[in-house]
Amino acid sequence: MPTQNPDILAVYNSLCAQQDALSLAVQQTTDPKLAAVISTEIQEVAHRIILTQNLLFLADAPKLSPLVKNIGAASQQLTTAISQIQQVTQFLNGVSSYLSLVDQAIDLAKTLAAAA
Amino acid sequence: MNYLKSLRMIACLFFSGLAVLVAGCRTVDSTAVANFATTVTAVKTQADDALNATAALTRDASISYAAAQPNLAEANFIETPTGDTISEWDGAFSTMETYAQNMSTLLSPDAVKDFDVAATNLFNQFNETASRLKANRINSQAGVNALLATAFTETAGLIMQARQQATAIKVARATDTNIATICTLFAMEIGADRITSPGLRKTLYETVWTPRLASLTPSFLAANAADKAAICQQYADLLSKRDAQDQVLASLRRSILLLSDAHHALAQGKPASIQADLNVIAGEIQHTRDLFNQFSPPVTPPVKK
Repeated sequence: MPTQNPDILAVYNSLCAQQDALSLAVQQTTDPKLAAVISTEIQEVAHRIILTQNLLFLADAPKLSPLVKNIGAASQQLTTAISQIQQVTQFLNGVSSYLSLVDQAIDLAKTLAAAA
Repeated sequence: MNYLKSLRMIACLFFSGLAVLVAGCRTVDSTAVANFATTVTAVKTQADDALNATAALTRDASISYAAAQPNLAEANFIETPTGDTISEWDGAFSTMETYAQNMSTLLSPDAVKDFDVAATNLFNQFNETASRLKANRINSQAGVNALLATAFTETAGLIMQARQQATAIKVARATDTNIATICTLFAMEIGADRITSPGLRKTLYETVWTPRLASLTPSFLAANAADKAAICQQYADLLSKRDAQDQVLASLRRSILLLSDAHHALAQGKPASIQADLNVIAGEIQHTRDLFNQFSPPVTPPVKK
């Protein structure tokens, strides 16, 4: 029985959790400029969720595991940044660092999928 | 991709097993088999509609994403499920469909003669699948064609062997696990819910509806009272569409699992249970049609103030 790739699944779940946090943040803010910033980042995260959905059934790939660990650490930092979202620069930096690591994992996964 | 390879392997196993089932199906209730065949066709259509609608929604989301990027790049235009995945699903359902139709044919008085026609149809089905995979460069993977060719040969052998040896119930029981595995794989791809289970339902929720809803907030916060009411109406419409779209996929998932149950009842020689499952599937398909009627072109985000 084929199963979902645990590393890709971890990335997918992390992205969805951050997306939920951003969705909550945009619903709580009363600042239209901040809302626009959050909305843009929601779109960025959504793009990565679609990419990982298409990789969920990738064969197990040990090379992905170290990247996923890094994503986990960045995800925690982003969670902190979202909780202090009024500090927009810090928030944007957190999103950027997190998505940069996610992109690395996705790129590697796509390469591995193509080579399978 | 491992998933696609696995799907093909499972489809081949299922196909081989069903080949044996067909040979012995003269002892299976004819109405139940005919209804099973009809239902497989209906679920195939339901799957095509639901998956293509899902792909279209995520494609729209990627267009919005691409429009917000500083450069125009092909990599920004993505969708899920991909055309490859939809094609694999379609191929698997076509295999089930062809076989179920041939199973009905075997119930005719001229069954021995029809069996040869059915076998030829099955051979053609394999050939068509192999040709499609050869033509699809993205899907092209080492060993796939060889796998299909082997499965083709094995299936042909099983059909000929089963003509003299198998009984319907015995073989149905033998193939039942493979059918359940295929259906479970489909169900996993869709996801049990949109909140906790990874899959298309959750992906749509997070990538289509969350961004669309969030995009209304900046305009709402900057709007006057009258405009706020209009934006709230848009927000409510989006929530309705989100729920309806989720139900389309949920309904498809239920149909697929019920199809598995119906086959299990077939394998157990319980025509009443088969009919009960098929009746529920018919209801699910009608439910999906009703939900599709709620869909209209995607709501355009309001002009920013």
